[in-house]
Amino acid sequence: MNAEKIHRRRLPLWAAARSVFGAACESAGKDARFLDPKLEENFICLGESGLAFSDSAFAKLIGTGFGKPNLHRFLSAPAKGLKTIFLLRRISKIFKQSDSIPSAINPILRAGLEATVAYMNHHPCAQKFWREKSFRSIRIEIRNHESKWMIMKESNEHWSIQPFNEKSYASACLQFFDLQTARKGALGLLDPLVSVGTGEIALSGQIPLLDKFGYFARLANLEVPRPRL
Amino acid sequence: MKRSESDHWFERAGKVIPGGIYGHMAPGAGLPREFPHYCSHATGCEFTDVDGNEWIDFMCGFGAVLHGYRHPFVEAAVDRQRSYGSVFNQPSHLIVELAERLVSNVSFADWAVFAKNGSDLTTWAVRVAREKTGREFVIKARGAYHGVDAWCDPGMGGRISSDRMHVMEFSWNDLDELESLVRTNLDNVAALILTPYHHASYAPSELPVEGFWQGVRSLCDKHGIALILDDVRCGGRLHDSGSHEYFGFIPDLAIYSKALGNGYAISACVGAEAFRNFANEVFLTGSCWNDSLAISAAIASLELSRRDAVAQSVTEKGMFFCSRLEDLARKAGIALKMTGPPSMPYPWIEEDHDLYQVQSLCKRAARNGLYFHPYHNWFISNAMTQDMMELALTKASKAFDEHGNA
Repeated sequence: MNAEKIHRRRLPLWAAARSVFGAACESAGKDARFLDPKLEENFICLGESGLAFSDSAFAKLIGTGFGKPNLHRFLSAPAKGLKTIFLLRRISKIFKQSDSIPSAINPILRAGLEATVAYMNHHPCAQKFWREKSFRSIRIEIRNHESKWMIMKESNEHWSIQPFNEKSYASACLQFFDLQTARKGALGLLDPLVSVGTGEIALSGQIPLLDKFGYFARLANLEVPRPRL
Repeated sequence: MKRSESDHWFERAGKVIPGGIYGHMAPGAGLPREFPHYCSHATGCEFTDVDGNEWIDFMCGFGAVLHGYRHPFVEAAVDRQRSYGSVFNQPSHLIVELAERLVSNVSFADWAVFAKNGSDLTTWAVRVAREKTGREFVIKARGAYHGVDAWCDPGMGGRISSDRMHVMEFSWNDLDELESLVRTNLDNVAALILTPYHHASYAPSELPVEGFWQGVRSLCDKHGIALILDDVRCGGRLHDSGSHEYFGFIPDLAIYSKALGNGYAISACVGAEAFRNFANEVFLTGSCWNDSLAISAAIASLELSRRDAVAQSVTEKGMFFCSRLEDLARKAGIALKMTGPPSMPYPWIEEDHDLYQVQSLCKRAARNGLYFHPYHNWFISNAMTQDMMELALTKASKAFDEHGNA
């Protein structure tokens, strides 16, 4: 998906679709594929099901929990469509949880990261920010927890979230102080700049890369509708 | 190290000031949990934070202080003027004295104007160049900092596409790239704005290569481009009469600030005669820009610089300190190189492109009471004594050992 192919107006919805998929990756295993989004000219489609929403219907789905999918597309594969709807319900419950345990927080955090990465890839300002060749990868982690993600720049210059492994090298690292801080951060309940000063968020490595990541994270946090599903 | 007061004030700040502290002093721009958030007082080359921790300082208020905090000669001049007042309906006559000093001190200067910050006058100087040449484009070095205005700020927010439509960049020291930019935009380049050497943040400083400044001057002459020297950061630290003397070239306009008032906010732009009439046409004012306290501080500061050959002094102190610091690092197995001029050195560790090593090193230094900035060039204060440098080196050695053992 090229940056120029996503209209600025559609970017928040695309980021929301990516964030729902991200949450599913952390909580639904292989079934996450049913929420893997695709952007079509008039629709946002979810996964293999072919469940397709107009932009306004998708905005309703994210914002209120109900959006009417395109009937024709739904009827072409109703079982898969229902599976997608079931998964959406599951994701919805996660966002409503307030537990500070990794199984509750990882999907929410991943959702926030996916939205940010969507902005890093497709925001009109993005391209000029990523010219620096040393900007390759960011590790996001929670102190004293195994939860870690790598945001990597791929050979096509697109950023993507990849599983962390011990060999992963990060140009920069952002660490949340604890699970609760991570949850608040993911839900937009932290002032990220203040949180760096208080120690709730620790930064290391290529600070200019984290500055730019932070800019898109804040932008996404302001613009992307938080899933209520 | 205590930081409860710092944290207390920062928590309050977070509620009423966006980000708590912004700009180059924002926590994220330094070492958020090692550097204090707030200072209490300072003397010479030391400061005390709000928790009472004492620091040996290597940043000098990010360059705003050259002779040392609260230098008695400067403070006495300010105190004298304070008894008369600071801002009036008309400027104090001291503004004339300051302009005369600069014109007499800076070889190519025929006039001077004043403002408060470097940005006020880097932007104004670009406009003067545009007024003179009737051209649009300005060329700068990639990664160079020239202020907070939309055409040059390093931030990301609040920009519109036209902000930088007439700004072009080249790699520092690359005369071929510069020449190519000029040729591509022949007869439409108004100004080339450069710092005396390349002091970008998050990267080692780069001195001009042999022939760079001569090439730049010659290119500007050939194509009628105004050469603007942004001497805001370096002014007074490389040469008492401006950094162009240190590197041996003549600009058309130069901007000074930071050290000019030794901690009192003032900036100056000086220019050659050929630019005087055009300077008249570009509006310049600010209600407090004629602040006579800052002007009296600048007069005293320039007097001190001349009297005590301060640029030479801080250079010698920097040479001693940097050389010893590198030796100590080497002994601890750290490939530390203090880049740039010795009076304003930038710490760079070989192969540490992602800055993890220098961050760790500066954190350990901070825990030993040394304000070593990991991403910004340091500033050697002229108040730094031999004893203080020895003490700092002892502390640095301890920090290096701790870093090596980690």
